[in-house]
Amino acid sequence: MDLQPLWDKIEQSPIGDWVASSAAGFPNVEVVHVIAICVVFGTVAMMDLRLLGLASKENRVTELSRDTLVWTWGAFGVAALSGAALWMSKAHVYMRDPWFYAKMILIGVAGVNMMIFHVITWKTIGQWDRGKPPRAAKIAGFTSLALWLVVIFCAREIGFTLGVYE
Amino acid sequence: MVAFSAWIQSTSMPGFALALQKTGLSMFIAMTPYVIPALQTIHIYAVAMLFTGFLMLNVRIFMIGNKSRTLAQTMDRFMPWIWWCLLVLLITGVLMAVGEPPRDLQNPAFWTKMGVVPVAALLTLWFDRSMRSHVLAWDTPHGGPAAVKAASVGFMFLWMVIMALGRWIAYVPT
Repeated sequence: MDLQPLWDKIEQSPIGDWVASSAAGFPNVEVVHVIAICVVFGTVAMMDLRLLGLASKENRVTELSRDTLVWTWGAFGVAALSGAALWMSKAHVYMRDPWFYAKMILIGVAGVNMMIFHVITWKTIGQWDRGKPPRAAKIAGFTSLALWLVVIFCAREIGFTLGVYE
Repeated sequence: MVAFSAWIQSTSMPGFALALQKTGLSMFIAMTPYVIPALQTIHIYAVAMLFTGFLMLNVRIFMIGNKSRTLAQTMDRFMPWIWWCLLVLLITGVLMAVGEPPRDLQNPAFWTKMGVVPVAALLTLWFDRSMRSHVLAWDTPHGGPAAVKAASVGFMFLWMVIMALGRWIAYVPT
């Protein structure tokens, strides 16, 4: 199925057109995107390092989770909106870049990992809130950290490969 | 930025950038696949951790989180983190500039960033020392004094400016 007309329509939308044609549009939206991603990565890493027993060991997991999650989700919302605006400016180019697909898939996998952790492992939080996290929590923390490290590498690779696959 | 760029071109910097580009280390960084994206990625990890460190300090100074820990404990948790991240930023930043000398060393956004980063580092040092010498007095149930809160938010803003300048390096014509 040829989706090119759809990508053209998205690129010609007011947002896509503004980001693409304004001299400062793309860089400024990208600045917002990078700052938001930094907050997402930083807060997620902080929680992951606690789950791995490597940092914030004196903090209760529930407290750290409460303090970081609000920032993680807020920043993720900003990153998603700014990322969508960037994508709309060159939709057909992004849709041909394998690094873009890798980034999106890995963010999805990180989301599933987080969901599994909160639905299953979190049930026993009362037993390890102040102490050493169980193996399942460590695996979730390691998986999350590894995924987000690779997500940022993929994001950077997009900058180097955008347009190469056209 | 245009005038700044023209001034950079009038200095010996373009010649230095070209000479640096011909060195073995510069060629290794530029020619080896994935080295520059990897350096940029590590640079982003470090700035993300540093920025989040300041964010968590702010959260405690404003008493909107981490309330079970004292201000001193929060400082002990995040300040070393911030200093180590600054070191990583310095090392990866130098390697990136060596790998792409004309892109960076002739770039007004790069030099503006280089002007702001030492100021941010010195202010961080001042903040660290001031906080440690008043940490008990400033640890009140309502958070730190207004001046400390303002300084702490100021750091967040300063680092956002630094991140913005870092991203603009890719877009400012040299």
